[in-house]
Amino acid sequence: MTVDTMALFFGFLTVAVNLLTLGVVTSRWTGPVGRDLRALVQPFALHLAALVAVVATLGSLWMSTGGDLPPCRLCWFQRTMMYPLAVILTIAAVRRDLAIRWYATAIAVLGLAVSAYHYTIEWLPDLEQGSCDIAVPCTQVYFREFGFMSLAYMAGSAFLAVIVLVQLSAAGERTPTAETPDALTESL
Amino acid sequence: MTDAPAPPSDPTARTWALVAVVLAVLIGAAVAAFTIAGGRSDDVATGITDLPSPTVSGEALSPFAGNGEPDPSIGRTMPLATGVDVTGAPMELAPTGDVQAIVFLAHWCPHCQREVPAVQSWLDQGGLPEGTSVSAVATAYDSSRDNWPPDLWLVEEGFTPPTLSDGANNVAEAYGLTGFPYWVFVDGDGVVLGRVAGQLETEVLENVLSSFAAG
Repeated sequence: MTVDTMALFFGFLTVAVNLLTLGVVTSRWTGPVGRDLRALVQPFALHLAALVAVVATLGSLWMSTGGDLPPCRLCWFQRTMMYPLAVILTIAAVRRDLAIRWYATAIAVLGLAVSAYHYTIEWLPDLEQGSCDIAVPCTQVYFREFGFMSLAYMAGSAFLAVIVLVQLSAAGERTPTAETPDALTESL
Repeated sequence: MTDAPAPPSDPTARTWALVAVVLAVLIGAAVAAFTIAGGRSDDVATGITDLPSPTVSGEALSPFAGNGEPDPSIGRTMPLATGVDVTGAPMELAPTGDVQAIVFLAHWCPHCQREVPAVQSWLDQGGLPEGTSVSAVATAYDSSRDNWPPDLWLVEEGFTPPTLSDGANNVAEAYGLTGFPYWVFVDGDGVVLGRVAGQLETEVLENVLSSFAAG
């Protein structure tokens, strides 16, 4: 497998994640299609969030080991956010622990902020500094799938999807339905 | 207008439907990636990696600190480098009798990618002061990084200064490079006048060269 192939693979997955995120975020305003999407995704939102974090983690590890692309300083910051998310979201999904949303959202928001900054300086390198570090400067780009999708974009998409999905899973808790009873009510 | 089909109401069916969608996305992405990437041919064989590494003589300059402290390499003699330029023609990095600005460039560095067209535009407009010249060193080659290969990049930019190919980074090391783009200014006898890492505005470059040329 080459970096080119894997970058394209993760590029397609990022498109799918972006569409899912957009679909969920706009579902309140897209009529029956949005309602059906929420109804389909909501009970499994935590599982999907865990899947996104795990795939992002595996992709990050492959790029630095199999792909031999050394991570820059900001990449490491994003890794420190994504890797724990993969673990705690997986455990929470198995245990159906919706309380995870507070911790996961906090971590993912921090990760998203770093990704957004990283993606911005990839296009506007002067914002960070006037020169490139000799080793792995954060302003350099390994690839841009479809002309815009860098590793920072992919990471940011994963963080955003995690935020939206864990919030959607919590919305299921606040809005009980016949199929997804309110856990709090049940426990009482 | 027709409504979209409602999702399965049975929780088990819904689970399997979602699993099927996730698997379809993963498999579809994998198949599409292998198919499309397999058909790509992005290995640009320009021969840049086959070029011989330059030989360097003379005492190496200290690594550039750029911390505002006096640069200990100022007043030292530039290391001499003999090799080939990025087209494979013989080239030497040595005193020219003029004040010389030597810029070290990495193809993957976004600042270098901006510096090259800016400098070329400035040269095209006749900005180079009398008694000065610009040379370049292409270094830090990495085919896995952006904007590969460097020779094609420089040709596409129409970059005219003679550019030494430094595939093994030994010229960069001898000049104490610590960041890109990296400028070293030497006088006509090869004595180092100054060093700076980072993108230089062409007005600044012109002023620096003018002041060095004026002595």
